[in-house]
Amino acid sequence: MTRVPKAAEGRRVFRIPLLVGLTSLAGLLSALFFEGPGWVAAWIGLGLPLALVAWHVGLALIRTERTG
Amino acid sequence: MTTASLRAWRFVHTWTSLICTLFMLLLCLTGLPLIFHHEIDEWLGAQAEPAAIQAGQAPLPLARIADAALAQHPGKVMQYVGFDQHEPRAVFAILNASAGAHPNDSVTKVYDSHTAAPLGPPMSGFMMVMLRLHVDLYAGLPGKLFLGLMGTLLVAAIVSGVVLYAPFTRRLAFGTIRTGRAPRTIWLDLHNLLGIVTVAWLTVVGATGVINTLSEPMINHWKATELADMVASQGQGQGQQQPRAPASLLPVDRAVEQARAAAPGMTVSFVAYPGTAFSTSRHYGVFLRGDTPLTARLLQPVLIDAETGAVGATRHLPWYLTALLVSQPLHFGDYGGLPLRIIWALLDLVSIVVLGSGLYLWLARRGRTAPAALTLRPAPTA
Repeated sequence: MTRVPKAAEGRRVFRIPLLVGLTSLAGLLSALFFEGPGWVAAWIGLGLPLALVAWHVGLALIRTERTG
Repeated sequence: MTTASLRAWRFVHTWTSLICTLFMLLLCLTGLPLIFHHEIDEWLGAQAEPAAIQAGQAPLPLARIADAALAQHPGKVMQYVGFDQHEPRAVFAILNASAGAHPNDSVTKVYDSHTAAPLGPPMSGFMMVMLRLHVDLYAGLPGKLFLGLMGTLLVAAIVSGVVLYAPFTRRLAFGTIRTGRAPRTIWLDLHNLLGIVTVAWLTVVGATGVINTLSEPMINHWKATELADMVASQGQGQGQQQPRAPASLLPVDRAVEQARAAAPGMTVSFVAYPGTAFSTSRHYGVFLRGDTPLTARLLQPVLIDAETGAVGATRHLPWYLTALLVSQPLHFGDYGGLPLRIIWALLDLVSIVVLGSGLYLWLARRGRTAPAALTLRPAPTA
């Protein structure tokens, strides 16, 4: 059975997701309030989740290549 | 949180996801071309491009656009004329059999603001199909509300998914994909990674989509309360009664001038001719917008007496319509240039993988005959 995580464990698990979530939200709002720099902030803020996906999936693919 | 509540969250996540997945896949797939509707329609040649502006050339009066539209559609009357926020050279005209006729029977055409040359329909047939599938499944208001319900289930699936993220990844470093393990494990890791990094975006797009499904009831409520009050405050007619029609019709450009004088610094978004859903039988409804990125999304209605040109009531939109108008860019992703729309499309594709992998995981688990206790083990115990 899946064990219920302790509070400290929860904090560790959610550290990066929380950061990504807040960055995304900041990006979503910045373009709504400011043109120019606000747009760039939005591209960076919402680009972060995509970058993380690319990085981790890329690593996994390289690993598969090496072992497979 | 107890083990029992964990099991409850699992149940919530499984079933809220399963019920909405098919519709969410449809919304992701139809939403994808809608993000680039302008580029795709341009590529399809659905709409002619406005001519290049000559030096010193001024836009034509709106009456000239209306004349061009009426000449092209004999027997119809003008309902609305307005501007495209993204294409300043384009003016749209909406015509119908009568001013009060149903929006579904209307014709929308786009004209060059400087030459009144017809530029064609606002979107291609293909894009119209995508839009209808995305907005109401060709089922009108019930279709919209149904998709709103599906969107609410999506938000519940996201919340329960976040709750489940910790127990399922607690022994793994962030982003770990356990290559070399069973496909089910690899897809679970992918589902967790792709799902958790897109949580904020998908929640915002889902929630703003739900708000948009309520646009019709919201606008109807506004018309029954605020707009009716604005009409009543004109001292003509009692309560919700419509004032008498104008004896002669003030030119539309005069109405725009009057409205702009009453609300300095604002730009015209669209004008509703007398007798439509957004005006009274006696008044033009002139809808103005601001100039900053945020206020450009918000509208302020000004009623202009269509006989005398007198400025009637004006008031700010109520909170729920403000929420609706602010939620639209957050759903469409059309407020940060082409790069933002490309990011929107990529996040949409990631969401498709999250939906697909979730469905796969459910099917894979159902196919197994092992006892439930074993199939519920997500993280390595070594």
